Amino acid sequence: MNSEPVIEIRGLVTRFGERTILDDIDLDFFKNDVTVILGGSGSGKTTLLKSILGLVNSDAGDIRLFGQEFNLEDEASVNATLQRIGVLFQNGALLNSISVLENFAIPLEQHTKLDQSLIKQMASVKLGMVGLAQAAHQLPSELSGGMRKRAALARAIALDPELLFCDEPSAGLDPITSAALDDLILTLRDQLQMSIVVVTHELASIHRIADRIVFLEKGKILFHGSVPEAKSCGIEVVENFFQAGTF
Amino acid sequence: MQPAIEQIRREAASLFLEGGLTHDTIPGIAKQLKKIAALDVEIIDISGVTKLDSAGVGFLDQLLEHQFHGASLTHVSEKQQQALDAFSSKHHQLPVAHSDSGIFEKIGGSVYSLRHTISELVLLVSEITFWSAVGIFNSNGRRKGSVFQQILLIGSNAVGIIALLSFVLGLILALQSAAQLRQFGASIYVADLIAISMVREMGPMMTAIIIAGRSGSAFAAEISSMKVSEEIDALRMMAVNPIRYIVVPKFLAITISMPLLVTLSMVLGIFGGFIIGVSYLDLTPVSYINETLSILTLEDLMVGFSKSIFFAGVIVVIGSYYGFKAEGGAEGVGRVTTSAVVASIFAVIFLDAIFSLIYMV
Repeated sequence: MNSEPVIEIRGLVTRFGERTILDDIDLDFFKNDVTVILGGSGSGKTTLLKSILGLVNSDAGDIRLFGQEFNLEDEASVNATLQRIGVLFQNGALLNSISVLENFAIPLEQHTKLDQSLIKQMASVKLGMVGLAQAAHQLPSELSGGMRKRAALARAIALDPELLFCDEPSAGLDPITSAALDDLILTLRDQLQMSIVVVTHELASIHRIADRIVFLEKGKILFHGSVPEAKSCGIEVVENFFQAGTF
Repeated sequence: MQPAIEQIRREAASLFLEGGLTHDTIPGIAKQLKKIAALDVEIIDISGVTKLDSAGVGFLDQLLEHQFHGASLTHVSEKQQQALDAFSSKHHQLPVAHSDSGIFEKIGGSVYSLRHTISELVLLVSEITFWSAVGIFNSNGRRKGSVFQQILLIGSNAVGIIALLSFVLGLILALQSAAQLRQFGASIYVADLIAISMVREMGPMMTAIIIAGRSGSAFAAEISSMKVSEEIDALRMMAVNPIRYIVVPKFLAITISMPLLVTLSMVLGIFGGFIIGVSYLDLTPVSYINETLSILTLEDLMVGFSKSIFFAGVIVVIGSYYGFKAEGGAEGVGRVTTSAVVASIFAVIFLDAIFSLIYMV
């Protein structure tokens, strides 16, 4: 477990106007781990994710990805870093005007010099892994919500990233699809040696995939550790969270 | 970091790949491999491959299938075998993309769907007309103050642009015709020309085109984004008629605003002509005004206003027709908005031509 950290966060503060969303966060994410960020609505989960990725400007603090400063001004290094990262957005964020296959091909066409036949072959493999090979030529608007999310996952792993971020991968999916998606995430971790950061509050999903969890509450880290530890950590909010899902 | 060294070595019938086999290195390797004769290679040794990603597996698959057909991999480590199993394309295949239909098929299809379009349009027109007629006397089924709000959006906010453009149009028309009429000593008839053309043609048409671009696009964009985000369905499920709730306020507002904007356009167009007449043609202000008033008849005004009301209806109907037709996401909204503007400008000009023919007879 104590391998090198892929993400190091020190003293991260993010404010929206007067409201402080993230308050002095110190956090490490480790290689080959599935880390789940959880917490109630509005606890700053998605903001934390976006702050790490530089999609939201933070007001203070240091973020290091792969041991390097993530300096937003240095475009070349940001692009190099981003190529080692895959992001699965909450609603998929596929480009609506082009087919699933073309969506998948964007990162490969933009960042590699692979020829079309190889790109197509990789598309068939990765879309096949998420069970969408048949839908390759369809437009995102013709797909269901779950299919869109799986297509987005295929796009996120097109470049075999070392680090994968998933924002609520199972939200809005039925339990079976959601379980399949979780399995897929675990498979990817094993096969591609990925480190994965997942934002979710689906308890079933957390039990299946989490190596460690980070519990956010009002912009602060309330708990950081493994799932069994969380259930007996003595912090009321965290224990309540895990009890809320038991029958 | 990516292993930078990539190497190909050949010994007899064996091909040794070394270093990283990833999406960064493959294009280079592929280039080198092109020089190797396909038939000679029987074994591909990947024991020297330090990094193998999904692109690498796909590449090996392609090599084995096409370039070195019949060759096999050796010295595959356990980790490499895992990657090969995971990313092999043997079990996956993309469906063949259906080809686009030919030009004749497309023309036929659009003619065939025209029937649909027409019936939908007729239905929409009748619904809008009916509910608007009802809506004049009965403000149920729409938000309080929505007509007033729409008048502000469609009418008041367009005053500036319409005033400016009409004034400039009046100036241009007067200047162009003055040069010709002056040769015959008929300068005074610039006043007639401006008055008639602004009141009967240019005023209503200019205003309609500006409103089609300004508000017709807004109608289509608003309704279509409501459509794609299921807001229209939500209204329906609340037992609210979407036509009454969304379209009728716009229809009433544009029917009120249009004649007023057209009046403004007429007055400012004539004023533009007046400026040229007085400054460039040395006409006296009184004679210009007298000439204008004497040539204009009630009929001219009626023609202008009846056209403008007609145009107003066309803009609303086309805007909402495309709006309700929208499908897909943001892209669908953009597409119908463009179509709505193009179609309503076309319809305005086309109708104007028909009106001119009718009134000529």
